[in-house]
Amino acid sequence: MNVVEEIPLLKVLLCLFYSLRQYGLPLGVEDYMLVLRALQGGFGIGDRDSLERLCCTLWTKSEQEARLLHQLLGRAITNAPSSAELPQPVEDTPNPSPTSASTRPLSKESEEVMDSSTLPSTATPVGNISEQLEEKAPLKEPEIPVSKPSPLTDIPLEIDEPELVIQAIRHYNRSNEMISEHQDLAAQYLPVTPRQIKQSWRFLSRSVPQGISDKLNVPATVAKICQQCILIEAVLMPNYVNRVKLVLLVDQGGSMIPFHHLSRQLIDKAGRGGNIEQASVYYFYNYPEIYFYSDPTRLKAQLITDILGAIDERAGVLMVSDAGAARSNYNPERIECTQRFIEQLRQSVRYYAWLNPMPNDSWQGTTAGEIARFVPMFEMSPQGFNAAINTLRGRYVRLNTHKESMLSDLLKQPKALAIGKANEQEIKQIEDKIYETEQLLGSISREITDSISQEIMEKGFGSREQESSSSGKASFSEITKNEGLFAGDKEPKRLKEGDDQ
Amino acid sequence: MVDSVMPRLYTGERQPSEQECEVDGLEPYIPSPELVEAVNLTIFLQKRPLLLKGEPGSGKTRLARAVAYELGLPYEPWYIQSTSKAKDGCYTYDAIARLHDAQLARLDGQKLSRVDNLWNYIKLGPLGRAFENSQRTVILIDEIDKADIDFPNDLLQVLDEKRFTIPEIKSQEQEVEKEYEIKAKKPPIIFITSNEEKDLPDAFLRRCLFYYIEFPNEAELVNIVKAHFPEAAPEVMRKAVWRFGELRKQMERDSGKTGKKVSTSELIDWFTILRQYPEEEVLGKLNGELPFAQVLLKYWHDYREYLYSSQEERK
Repeated sequence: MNVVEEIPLLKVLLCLFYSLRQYGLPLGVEDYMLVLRALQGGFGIGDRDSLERLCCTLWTKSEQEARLLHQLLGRAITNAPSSAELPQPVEDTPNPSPTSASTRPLSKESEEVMDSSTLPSTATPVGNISEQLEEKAPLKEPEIPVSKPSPLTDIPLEIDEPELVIQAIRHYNRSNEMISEHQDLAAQYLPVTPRQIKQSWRFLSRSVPQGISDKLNVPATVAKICQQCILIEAVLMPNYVNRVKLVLLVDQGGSMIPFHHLSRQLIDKAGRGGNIEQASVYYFYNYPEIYFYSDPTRLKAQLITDILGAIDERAGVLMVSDAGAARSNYNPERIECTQRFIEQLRQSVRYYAWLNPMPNDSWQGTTAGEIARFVPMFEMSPQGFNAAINTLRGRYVRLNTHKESMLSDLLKQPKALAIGKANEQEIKQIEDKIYETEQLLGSISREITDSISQEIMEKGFGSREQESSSSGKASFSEITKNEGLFAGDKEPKRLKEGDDQ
Repeated sequence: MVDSVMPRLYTGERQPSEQECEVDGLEPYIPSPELVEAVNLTIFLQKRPLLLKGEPGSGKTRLARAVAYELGLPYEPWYIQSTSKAKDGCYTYDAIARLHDAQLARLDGQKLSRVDNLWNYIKLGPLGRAFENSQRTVILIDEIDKADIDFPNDLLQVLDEKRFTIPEIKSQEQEVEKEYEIKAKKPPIIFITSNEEKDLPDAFLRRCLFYYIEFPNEAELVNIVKAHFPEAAPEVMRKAVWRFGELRKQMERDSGKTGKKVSTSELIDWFTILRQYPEEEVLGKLNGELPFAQVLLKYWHDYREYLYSSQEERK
């Protein structure tokens, strides 16, 4: 039986794949299949080095990752019990040699193999395999029965390996994840990589058609001329410019010292990476009181009222501060002052958000938790940062803390049901809760609809201007699309008509 | 230890003749066995492009041309600039030329038919031409990191599905108006090079095979020089490579892993100049102060460190 011929190799491979995933490399089933295909094609067979080269080419994307793979492969090989027998070149083992079979006691597994081999079909019965898999942990001995002694060149790899991989991925436990970031050291330190910061800043844009229609819409003009055979009138369109202005208010010093690198990245990328028209930065210490400082060392003071007065109404204000979460204390004075400042801020700008370098779950019971009740506050993660930027664009759907906590409670409940521990009384409670949730979700979805229709209105006006200036084909389709949306939503339409009159 | 089962389409052994080098501007290319394996893997798997990284001057760009030459396949280079858009690789639509023709159509009836046919104004880019070619084509996307950070993402679909549409051209299919679609006839062999000036997005990296071109060792360097200058005296070659290696080692010591170091391509340039002189004179020069340092040292700092210091030593 040449059943176990290739199994050490597969075991090593699976072990390696599993640990690379633990290190956060974005590998999926497809990537695993690719290695199998390459092995079938004769790549990576021979010795450890060629296997490593193959895996490096297919699975790693940088030198660091390749080094990591080198380490992990070494570990995977030593972990595998039959590591002494490394995958040999196929010709070197012309006979399905009994050596490996003899080292293994012919036990129940091999009987199973015999059973399945009597089956006529070439494919392995899936049920059989999955039964085996349930019995064993995914990393233990992936026994792959082969239905018939296959010819030498035919390495029995393609069989049901993917199932093991899928299992490995499902078993992948986030809690014992060792290192979540696999990029370079600087990126490891930051919760958001510089690239992600840059990318996110890009989304902060408010394209407005500016000035009169004076830019030649070349394709539209040409299309018109070709239609009419003569140039009667050029199609013009207004210039689109990104009018977004950003004000960064950065908490500097004290508990924010560990995050200075992060705020520097934010400021740097806002100034250079994105296409923000104007980005101004002011600093404060702990909370804004009377002065803002225009330098990180907090020497050049300016009155807050002066600065707020000078800010464009449409600018987005992003505050960067841990709001007391870093030292997890509760300071009523800080809350009061912040609240006063936010009131002030609200009078001069429309969009503002708060970015907290501390993760969401550390705010509970601290000043940050309180402040988050009246300011849209987000943690510094790719999602949080994007949400903050969406807020600055005026697309914030406010979930107040009460609703949030209720929702999270509710999300926990069904688990009790699923485990089957809930008694009747609990079920009754849960039903009540579900009713409440429906109500809650209803109100939330209304809020969402409102904010969306507001957005549509803004867009609608934009395209209306374009229409009057007889713009090109692309914007025309946009208008029709918008009108299609209005048909389903009565209130904004009414508003819009009122505005037209 | 490369196994013989492996399909070895590309061997890296066939080099262009001297005549071809002169006429077509080809150059010999000596890849390491590992690189050959990675190239064959790319050819075999068909699905994914090979992303090449490595020091500047390590031969990332030249590889694609060498592969195309050995396999006798058509070659489509696409050199990325900071203003390149993903669409340019597929096709460009020249609206101005159409305008020009439309204006002239009034005077010349023949032009009218030209104006109506949009194909006269569509020019396929490197990817478009490769997809249309009935032969497998070697595509080089050079220095992808030079473009805007969104560029690789825009390329994803084209590279993934090996097809794209031309919205300007509509075709009628069963009463439904459809955009014209170009689909790859044969899966192209794609090489992408990057100098790591900007990070590439994860979604893009996921779809690539990766190979890091290491700096060749001394024996390999001698081979490379030999391939470029078959008739050079072995003694001069060894000596030059040794001197070059010493300089590189010194630079590595001083600037660590990060700084700019002398590269293979600079070695070849340097050797071209050395060859202009008689053998004995070159050997004499190589023993003394670094000759023709302009080719190798690009920073004033380097000049000071490696040129003047050796002079002082002798004094």
